[in-house]
Amino acid sequence: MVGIISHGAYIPRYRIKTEEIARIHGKNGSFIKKELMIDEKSVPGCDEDSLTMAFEASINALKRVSIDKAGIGAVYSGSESKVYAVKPNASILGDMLGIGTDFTSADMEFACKGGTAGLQSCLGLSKSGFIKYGLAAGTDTAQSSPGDILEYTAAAGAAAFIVGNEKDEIIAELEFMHSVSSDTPDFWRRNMQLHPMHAERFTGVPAYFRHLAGCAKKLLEKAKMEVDDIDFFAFHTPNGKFPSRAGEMLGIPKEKYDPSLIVTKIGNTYSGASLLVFSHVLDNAKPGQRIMLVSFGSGAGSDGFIFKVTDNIKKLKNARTVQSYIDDKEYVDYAQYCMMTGAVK
Amino acid sequence: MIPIIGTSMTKFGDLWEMSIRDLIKESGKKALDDSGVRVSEVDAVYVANCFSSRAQGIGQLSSVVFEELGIKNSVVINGDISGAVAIQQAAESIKSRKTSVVLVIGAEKLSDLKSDEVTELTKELIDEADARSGSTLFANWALITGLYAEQHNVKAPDMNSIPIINHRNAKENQFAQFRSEITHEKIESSPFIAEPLRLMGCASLCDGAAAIVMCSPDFEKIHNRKAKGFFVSGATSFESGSLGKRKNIVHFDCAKEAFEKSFGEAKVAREKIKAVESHDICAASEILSIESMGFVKSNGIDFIKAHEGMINRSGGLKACGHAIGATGVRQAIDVISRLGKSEFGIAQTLSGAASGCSVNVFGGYHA
Repeated sequence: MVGIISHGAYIPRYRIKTEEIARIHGKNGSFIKKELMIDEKSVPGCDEDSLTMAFEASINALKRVSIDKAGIGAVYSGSESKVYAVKPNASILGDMLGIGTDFTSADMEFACKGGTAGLQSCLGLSKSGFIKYGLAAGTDTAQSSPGDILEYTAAAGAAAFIVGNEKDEIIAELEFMHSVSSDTPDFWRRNMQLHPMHAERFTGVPAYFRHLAGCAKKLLEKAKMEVDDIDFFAFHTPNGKFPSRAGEMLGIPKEKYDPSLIVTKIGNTYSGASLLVFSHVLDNAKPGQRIMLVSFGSGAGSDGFIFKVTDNIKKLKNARTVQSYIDDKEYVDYAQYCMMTGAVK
Repeated sequence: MIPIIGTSMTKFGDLWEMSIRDLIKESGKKALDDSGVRVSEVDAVYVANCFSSRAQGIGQLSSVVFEELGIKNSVVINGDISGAVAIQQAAESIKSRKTSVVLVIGAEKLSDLKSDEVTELTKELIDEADARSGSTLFANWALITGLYAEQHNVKAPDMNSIPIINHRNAKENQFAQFRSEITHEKIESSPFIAEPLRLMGCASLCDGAAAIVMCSPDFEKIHNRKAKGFFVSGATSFESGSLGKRKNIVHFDCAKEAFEKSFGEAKVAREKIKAVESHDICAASEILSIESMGFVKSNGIDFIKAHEGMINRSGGLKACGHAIGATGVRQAIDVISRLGKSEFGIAQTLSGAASGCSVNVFGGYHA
């Protein structure tokens, strides 16, 4: 068997409200807030980047278990805001965590689903027995052009998962996995460009909903399961509206996709987004519960997983929960936000 | 009267899976199938489109018509009222006996562009000096709306009943882009696109296609076709594109003239009008169209409220969606679908910010 043996999250403490961004651009903040279902978003501090956040999340994952770190044979970092254009986040992350040098590592990039791509790789390597443990992180200090609609959602955060193949250690066993991919130009950033471009409404039905809902449906078919067989759905969260509509489209009761709505308080953490929701669900999960995780990356594709929570979840040690990060916040104004995100240098 | 023996329409909205070619092919084929007319029997195709040159880089839709439908003789009518004008041209062609079966296709594909690109394009629909000074299509409509409100002692929000009615009407229209009701609060909470016009109070410019097959009365009789309705008469009138050069921007002379000319030619009593499709790109455009066509001298809002079942039953441009070049053809189909014996209807569409107007009069299948 193979599955998750630990998880950790990290969200910067700074927040900016939707109304504050709208105020600067002369837009109707309350309308945007309602349309996107985004109250506020996280902002990385001046000394934070995708690597420091992945490190914080990974440390939280390691805190919850007593494992020999040297057993981590793979480190994958999924991000579209990696620190260097050429030089991996993943190798630095492994070194920062002190796991030695006997590990494979690479950075995964697939817009917002690089994190789940890393998770898949770890699950595969661990299941095949090539590695004992693997660590996959999804992390982003999300980019957006000032004044663009994306600016209201593009946020910062990370989640990390340690994967293993020992029955006594697995807290969420992988039962089924399915992915979909296609050439769909909904969102992109070319080399040397500072900010991504997007195709407005095209990011909805032909991109997010077709891939994410399609992947979720195929995963249920593959598993021969119904919505009723799943206790929680952790979806990618570009905003609050999309996962809610996806939930409605799939006939999922609100309470089952409700954890995805943490996005209303932290924004879209890109590669960290669906994994933060998954970590949030695991923070509160009970043995026997089934969780479906479906990411979405523009370009476009979705990775879907069904995990079943085991009794081992009760053995996890304490570490900061997603909720504790959501609650710990300090508001900044737009000027501070510009300084923190490097818009003003 | 020119029989209309076949109709078809695609859904209006964001048609991500369809190109302009697909729209022309699907609407054209379905209208021909509906009419029972073979491709070889079609004498000419009139294609209405506004922006394929800029949106898709296709400057010659006639080749597309040939490739997708196999018909060699086609005429492309450009502009935002091209759908209505194409029907008039097709009718003239049949009346002159130059043709006996004509396919009219209106098609537009705007979702290939981003919204700011669409805004930029629509500046072509207003006076070039207005556009150079920074105005846009909706900015000009905002000026018209503001002046109408001032002169009639109403506030812009008082006009929200127009989009509310049209959304309610669209619930029954399977081809409409927006089939849900809209509230006064929803409109008022949406942002201004050009004060006092709000986003949710104005029509969306979208993708869509509509096609009709028109034929000579002889063809209808000889081939035993059943007309779904009749084109009775039509007229188009233009005035200055510049708001500054018009005598009165809150009375559409072009609409008055197009209506009087087409309706005079039709020689029918006004009370026989049972269906009106009017140009509601914003509330004031519908109100002023109805007033300018003489349905009522003033208080157009109250008149429209009292005739909810007659005007824009399709949902209009606001809720059905405004696939620019397709709109005039779409209106024709919606009008004839609501007419019975001895009943008449009109389709009215405006160019730009009321710089021009086409009015087509249709008769019911037994008219």
